[in-house]
Amino acid sequence: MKTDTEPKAGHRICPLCESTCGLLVELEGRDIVRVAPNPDDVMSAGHSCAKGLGLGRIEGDPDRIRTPLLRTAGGGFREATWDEAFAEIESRLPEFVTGDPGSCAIYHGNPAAHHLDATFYLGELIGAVGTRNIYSPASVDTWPKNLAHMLLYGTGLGMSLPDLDRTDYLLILGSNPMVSNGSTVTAPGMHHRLQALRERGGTLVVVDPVRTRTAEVADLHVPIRPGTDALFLLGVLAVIASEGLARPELVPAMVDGLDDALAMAAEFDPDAVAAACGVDTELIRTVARGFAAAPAAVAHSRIGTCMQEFGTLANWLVEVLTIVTGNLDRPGGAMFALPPAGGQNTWPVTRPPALTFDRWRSRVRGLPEAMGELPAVCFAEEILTPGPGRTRALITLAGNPARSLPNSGAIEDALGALEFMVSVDCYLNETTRQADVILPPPPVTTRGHHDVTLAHFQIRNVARYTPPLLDLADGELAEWQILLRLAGIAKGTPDRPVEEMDDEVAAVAARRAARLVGCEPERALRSTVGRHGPQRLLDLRLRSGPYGDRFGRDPDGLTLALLEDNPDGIDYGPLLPRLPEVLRTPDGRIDLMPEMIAADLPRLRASIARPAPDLLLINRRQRRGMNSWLHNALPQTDGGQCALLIGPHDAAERGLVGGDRVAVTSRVTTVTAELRIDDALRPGVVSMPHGWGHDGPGLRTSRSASVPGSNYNALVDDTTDLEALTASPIFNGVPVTVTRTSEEHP
Amino acid sequence: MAYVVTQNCCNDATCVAVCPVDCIHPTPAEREYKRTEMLYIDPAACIDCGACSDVCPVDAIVPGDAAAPDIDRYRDINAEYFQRNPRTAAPGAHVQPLPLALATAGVADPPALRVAIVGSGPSAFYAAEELLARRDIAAEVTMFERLPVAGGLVRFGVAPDHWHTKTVDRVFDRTARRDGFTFHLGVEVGRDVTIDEVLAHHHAVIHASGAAGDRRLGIPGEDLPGSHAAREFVAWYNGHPDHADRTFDLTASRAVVVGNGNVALDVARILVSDVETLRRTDIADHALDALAGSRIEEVVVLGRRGPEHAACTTPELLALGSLPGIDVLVDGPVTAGPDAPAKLKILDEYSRREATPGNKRIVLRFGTAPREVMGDGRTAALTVTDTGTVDRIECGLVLRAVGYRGLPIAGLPFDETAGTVANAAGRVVEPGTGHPVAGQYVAGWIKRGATGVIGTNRYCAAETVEALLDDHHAGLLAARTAAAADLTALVRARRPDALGGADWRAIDRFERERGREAGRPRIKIVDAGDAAVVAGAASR
Repeated sequence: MKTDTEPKAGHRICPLCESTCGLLVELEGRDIVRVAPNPDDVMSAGHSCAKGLGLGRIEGDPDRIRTPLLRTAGGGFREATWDEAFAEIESRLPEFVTGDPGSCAIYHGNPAAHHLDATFYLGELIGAVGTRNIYSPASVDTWPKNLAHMLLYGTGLGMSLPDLDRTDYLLILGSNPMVSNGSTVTAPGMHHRLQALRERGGTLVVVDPVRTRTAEVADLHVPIRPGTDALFLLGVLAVIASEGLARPELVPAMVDGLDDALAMAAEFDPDAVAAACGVDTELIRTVARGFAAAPAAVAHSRIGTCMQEFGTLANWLVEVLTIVTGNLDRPGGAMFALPPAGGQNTWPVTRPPALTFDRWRSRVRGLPEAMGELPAVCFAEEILTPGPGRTRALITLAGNPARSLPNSGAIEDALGALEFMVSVDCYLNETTRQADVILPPPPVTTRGHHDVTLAHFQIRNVARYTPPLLDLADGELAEWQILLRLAGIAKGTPDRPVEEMDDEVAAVAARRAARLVGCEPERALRSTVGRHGPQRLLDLRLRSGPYGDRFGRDPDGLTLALLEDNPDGIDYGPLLPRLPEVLRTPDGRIDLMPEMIAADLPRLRASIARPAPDLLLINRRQRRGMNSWLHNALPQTDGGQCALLIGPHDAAERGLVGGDRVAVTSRVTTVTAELRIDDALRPGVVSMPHGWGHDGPGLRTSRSASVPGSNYNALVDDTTDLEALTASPIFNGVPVTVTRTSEEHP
Repeated sequence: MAYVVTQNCCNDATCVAVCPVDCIHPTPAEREYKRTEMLYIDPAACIDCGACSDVCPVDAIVPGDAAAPDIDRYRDINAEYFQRNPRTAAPGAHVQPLPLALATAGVADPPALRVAIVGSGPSAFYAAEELLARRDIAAEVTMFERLPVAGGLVRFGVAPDHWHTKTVDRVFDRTARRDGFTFHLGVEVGRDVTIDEVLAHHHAVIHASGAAGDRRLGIPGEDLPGSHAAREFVAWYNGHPDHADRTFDLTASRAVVVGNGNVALDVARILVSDVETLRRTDIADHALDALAGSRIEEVVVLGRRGPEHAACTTPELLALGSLPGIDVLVDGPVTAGPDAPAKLKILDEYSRREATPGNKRIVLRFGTAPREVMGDGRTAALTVTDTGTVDRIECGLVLRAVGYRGLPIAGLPFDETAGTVANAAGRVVEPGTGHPVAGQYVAGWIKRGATGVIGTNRYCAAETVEALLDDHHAGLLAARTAAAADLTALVRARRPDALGGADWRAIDRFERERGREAGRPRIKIVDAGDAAVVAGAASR
């Protein structure tokens, strides 16, 4: 680590999205003055984007909170010392923890998944609060995929990945990686990879209601009606079943239910399915035959397939397609990463693990838990519905539920009804303005970075770590220290030194690491002596992980020190077959027809005959946005970026012309937007970006508030229309009406 | 593959503000910006992120692999700029500039400022945006347009077949919807209300009324029937109410356009365009009817100097070359070496083209100066001097397109040489003393002369507003003496038929709706009475 007086430059893995690009950063004093892509990074090889290269602006944002804030009697905020802030929390938080642990909820946002502090220490806070009311955006945008993969392969995080760099046929559903950089797949430089696919003679097919940028570069675009991906996949499988295109000889022996799956698919009529999907049957046949005939083929599904009515079915069918065509666990097909810090699908188990789904249910509506969290659609009602166990206090971590959860109006009402709220956040935004105490995280340059979680999604086995470039300055506290202080307060031991608590966390981690390696915990701890905080925990994980040095037994093996010496990362090569050891299912096999999912098929079948809704609203991904939180640092140039896009035919039918101000009305509420006509949208579909609507009093986000945009999420229902298995909101495919309004200022 | 800036770049540089690697040049802060034909993306620096393409107000930025017209050429044109203007800054050293509106945020209790703007073209709207978007002042803007419809040269100058260029009106529409914006259409400052009356209600006036005159050739016969200013022809086919009743003789088989700037290419192109093609544009219906009966087969476009001095921009010249049914030829040889500018290479290519039987023609002729418009009571030919020899071009129509020129504004000092109101950075000044004329400012063509493209006016207007704000901060602007409501009452009293912002929006919508029914982007209302009827119907 360097001091403030030396010129500073160094490596930084981008913490903003799942691409995890390697960046080169230069500092003047504590300010980032230069950010460039790292051409030598073993994973990203010089790729970055408008977000990552804006890291200097994000870190230097003058609106950023850098000192703890305390709510004043007048309703505003005043700057406070850390001691004052923790004293306030100490005087108020414990009543919500000791009386009824359920009464304090925790919400952690997307950024928390992208750094070590929350990865390693959030669990300490959750344990200390003892609550089951944990929420995150995962229940809005990923659970259907998590559940499908959990039922097939045993863990929610250990998903199968499209082996993009070696496949011959890539079918993408509900994802626009040319704009988003990809999700649940870590493959920086997506445009190069897709271009390479086509240059080696491969085929790219994109299923999306909109001719997105990704669809533009595809060989084939299937302009599907929102919410019908599962039907489309069944149509493809029906063709495969009826034309005998399955490849049972290539299906791994531990797969059960192959014949049942094909028989199930054969019951669907491609013509009927095509009509419901709003596409030509020939498209479905073309995809089925092309996919089955390709030497290696893989389907990849993301957000669009998750945030809809039949999300789990769609994500399951993606895997079924890949499996029945013989593409599971082989190069160019669907494969599994071997994450350097290990995880649920690398750690050996002695007894079948419990399914981490529906182990408990929410208080008010009885909605199922998944992976330790409750569905975000419960968030507001758990606060607003009286009775024992009502949530009365909240801790948020890098999250803005007021703008990223469905039904913003209800969320804001709920936040206002809380008795106490602590936010660990760098912005005074639509959520944190309701907090009593705001604790700011330190600059990103003070953190070491390794993606423990996202390494499960890497399409190449690499290990990378970028160390902190700066020490913490006076008045800064590391996020892991903040989390431990909060945990200490929740446990009733507010004065316990953070170092002592950290040693305790490390001791537990050392025991697990030692067990994995087969050595004494003391040896593990001795090997990491001199390190503390997340670096120590990471070293324990790496050294006991799949490439680890096993605390000296394999001297060439991976250690944190080795990564520090290799700041561009270490390449362990392309993904390797991992069946059957990767499986964590109860019987160690793959059940292609999980009962829980198959039980939802009649509902899907019934939907075929349902009349198509008038107009469905879907999300539009933006290049400079990341949900709600980059809008202040990378502000939009004008309100037109949030325009509602509509196809020419739909506009004409409603007597609308480009430039009109329109009222977009869902079952929940109405928002206004500028209208733009765009023939990239299929009939019956309109689009808007989400995370906007930076309005109302008390914000300290002057730039986003000056071009606030329209709030998509306010339109999304959190009550009745939910994905059947996971209770995910239907966010893509919101039935809306669009009418002209005289409202001048959306 | 890098993104590429294409034909209809408006130079407003919105893209520059969002580029994370500073690969779009010239930026408004660079010397080359004032004269550049368009902006360019450095393919060596572009990271293919596409942020620029999202914000381009006229959709001019496309991925390098897009199936856009002439995309291969534009890839070369973009790259060439950086071969000629190599970048020295290290990659990644760039800090994105904040839009002014955001950079001025966070001022507590910003002072009030009321500004009148005369005109409703790009420089007028950019000035209004510059004032209303700022957060360090609480501005109110009153815009006066003498016609019942808004837009200035976006509506009456840009050729009808350049629809994408006109979509910049979305930007102006957003400005017109801002709090603090008041619009008076059909009200002429100086006729209906005096400048003093306007100033009594405002701290300052920005004149952004453009260049309403044109440069003359100064040759005999210039005023013969059949010889006109291209400006008038443009205004006519674009449905300008003052020019709707004009007639142009389209009975001869040849027309001559003197001058070879973008306006010259516009009128040449419109003269030989297929009427069915034009029918899908927002060209005025009276022009469509007249052009349907046109017998013009060939338009000769004259340039006084050689091909290396062609005044048109590269994108316009390039777009000319791929029109269906129209040959673009060059009369005489053009030589372009491998290092020649793109424009010369294109002319070289055109010079080797052969005429296609049955096609109409645009013939570019260089090194040719007009001498006299000949004819007995009406234009029959143009004599020209071509490298010392006199030549006679038979034609029934001569359009001079040698530049727009500003006309004096009553009461303001005028620079006759430049055809602009005398000014320093937008402050109107007395030419002798350089003393500012209190409260009077100019923006756009009346300030800097008829140069640049639409977006150039953004920075021209910004400079003016900067000067105005400096004067305001320095206490040089007289506090207004009368209230806003009084001004509206005065306008109503003087012009009971005046229209407001909502009226204009109703007219604009009506035109677009009618256009959509006919498969056109818009069908223009030309008659002021019709406009009033549409506005009246909408407000009931």
